[in-house]
Amino acid sequence: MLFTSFEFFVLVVVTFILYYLPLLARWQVLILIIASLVFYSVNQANLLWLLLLSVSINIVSSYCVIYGRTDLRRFHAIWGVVANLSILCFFKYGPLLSRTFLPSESSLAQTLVALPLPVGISFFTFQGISLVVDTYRYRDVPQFRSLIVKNWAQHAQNVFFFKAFFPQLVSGPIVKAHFFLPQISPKFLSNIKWDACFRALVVGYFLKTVVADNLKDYTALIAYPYFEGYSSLTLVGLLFGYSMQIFADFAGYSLIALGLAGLFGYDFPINFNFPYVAVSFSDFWRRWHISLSSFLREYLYIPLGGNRHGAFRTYLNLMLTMILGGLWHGAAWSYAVWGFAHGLALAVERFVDHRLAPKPGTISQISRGVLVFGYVTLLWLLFKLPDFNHVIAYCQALASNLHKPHDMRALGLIALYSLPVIAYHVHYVVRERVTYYRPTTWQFVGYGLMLFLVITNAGSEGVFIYFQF
Amino acid sequence: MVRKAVLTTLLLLLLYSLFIYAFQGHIHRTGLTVQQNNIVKAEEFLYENGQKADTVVVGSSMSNRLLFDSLPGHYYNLALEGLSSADGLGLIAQAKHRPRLLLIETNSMDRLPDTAFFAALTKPALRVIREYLPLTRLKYQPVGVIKALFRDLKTERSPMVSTEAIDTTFVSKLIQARLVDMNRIPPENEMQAKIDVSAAYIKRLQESGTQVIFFEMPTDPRVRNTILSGRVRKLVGLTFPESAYHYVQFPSDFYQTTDGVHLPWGECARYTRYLNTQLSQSAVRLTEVR
Repeated sequence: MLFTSFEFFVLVVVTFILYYLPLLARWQVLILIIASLVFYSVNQANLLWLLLLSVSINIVSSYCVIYGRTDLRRFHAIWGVVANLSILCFFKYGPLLSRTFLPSESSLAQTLVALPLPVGISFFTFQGISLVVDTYRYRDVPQFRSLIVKNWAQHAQNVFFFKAFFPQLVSGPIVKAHFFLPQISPKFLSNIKWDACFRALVVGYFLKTVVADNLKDYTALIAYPYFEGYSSLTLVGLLFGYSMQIFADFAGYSLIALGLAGLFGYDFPINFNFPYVAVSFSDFWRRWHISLSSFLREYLYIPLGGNRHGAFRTYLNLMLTMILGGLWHGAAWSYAVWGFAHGLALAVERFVDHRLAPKPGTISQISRGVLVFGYVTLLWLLFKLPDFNHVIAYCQALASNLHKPHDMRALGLIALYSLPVIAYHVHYVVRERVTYYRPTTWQFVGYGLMLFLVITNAGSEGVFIYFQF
Repeated sequence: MVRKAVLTTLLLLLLYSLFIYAFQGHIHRTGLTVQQNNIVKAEEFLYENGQKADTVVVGSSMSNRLLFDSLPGHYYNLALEGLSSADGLGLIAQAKHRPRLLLIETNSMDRLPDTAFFAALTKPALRVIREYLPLTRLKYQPVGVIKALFRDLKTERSPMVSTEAIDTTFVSKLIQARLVDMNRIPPENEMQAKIDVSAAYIKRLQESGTQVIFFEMPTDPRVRNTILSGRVRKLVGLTFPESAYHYVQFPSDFYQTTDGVHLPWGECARYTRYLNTQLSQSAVRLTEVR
């Protein structure tokens, strides 16, 4: 069930009405759990059991960490994390490992290759790990301890809700336990921040349906061998369009999730902070998919040692974190290459910054911004073309198709639909840099226009790119 | 802020509805992509001029460029890019109006209807909204409408592109890639099951008085001679025997393609003339079905 579908709209309206009915106020969390199960079942009813299994593992392990025998706490935390990771590895990476290491005709390989990829598995698994690790890490902090309630049924309900809350169930943002659990409490209609929810929903739906869903029809031309027929300029335009599309798609989704959670009285962390204005790779990762990068930093990079064990270990940790972060996105080696390339960029940048200490200045900032954007955009090719040979072919076509005629129609429309993303970032830069900038009283016209375009100019319904992760 | 923004949206919707009402007759070919062209074509068929058509063509992108200007009566080309005859047949089955003559491309008859495309057009609630609120149709998306109006202002009404440069090396590469795909032949019973879906639609249409003629679009000989193409021809022939159905004879001339299966505009115009001649010589006279 897509956020953009009519069925989803009906689900949200019905859930919203039931949720705020005074008569049903006692069962608010239960109502959201049921709505989440309906939401997940429409996507993949046959794998609902897997979500339930994953939730059960986290209910038991987190409870045992707090209320189990003191000497077994570490054991409970470890098996909780291992069980979470095992489910993820089996379902997500089983096919990749079998294709890589097993003979294709063996029955085990065929079974593994045929495994379905459960929707949202990467997201709900990471949230589960966050719960178990946070529980173990903060087991002696009274404020956190109190979040793991002694009442077993109540605890199970809270954990179920934390993992399955439908706005973030299938594509994040990855909400950490210590951020979400304290928010579980009775909610009231009068407490809804209508203005913020409206803004998030309008901008989110605009980015997804008007920008991303329209751009996807042009970026679909990035398909082997068809792209070989286009000129270099067209290929650059297509890649630029894909970069805009992937941002609009995922940032749009995250904003919709934020707005929806807000309607039910819950706050989600911001997932995107104008990433394409980043002037360094580390800056980019502080702005892009913030919930994932902060998860990786908090639960992988820092436990690996972070930057506490010298330069070499720091670079190694960076590379490892980014390669695993790449593989988190998909079970293909091209994602590992994507992660490696980002890790390399972070390591080189760190090295250069420490050794050469480049002087900050407007020209330097702009050139670094262009470099970061260009590199990041080029690497999105690995997302669009999972076959590495096709990526090479695209780069070759990019370099050699200089004399082919340009597809001006596609380029013009890509530019048109990319314009809102560019304007979105420019607006941010202006707001941050220009001291005399004041939000105008005419903002409602912009939101009104965006809503008008959502109704009249949405692209064909497209699955969110991050659904596959 | 929320109230003001919603009021602004309502005002814009009202103004745009008035604009569409005033210029509806001047807005044509607003689709900007393959998918949009298909939906616009289907929407026009379901809600606008398609409902007056005597003769309808169904097929894939191969038949998309056929233009029967000289055919008598009102003609509508419902061939859909990237889709198949089955999609067009499904839409006709959903429409209130039945054409008198149906031209069916056989090349794509081994494909099932695209359920997502079909659902996007025929969901009951959305269909009612689109029928009575034209601004919710994809055809009237502001960007497409503005682009179409500009294009028409520049008097580029004809879709014909007389000089379409063909890079033969690239075409050969595309054909090779296609041949690799076409060598993966599904079991015959699977193919037959897909053809049966179209057959069920055709039977229903025939029962309501529609006459049917099959035709095969010319393709590159390498593509036409693949086992897959041969099997499609065989199964279509078995399901719709020549003794009971009308077929347009396959042309003996060579036709240039852009990728092995699609004719460039000039070649398409040539085939349209051929098809027209064949139809006028066939046992089915268009005047008879009018």
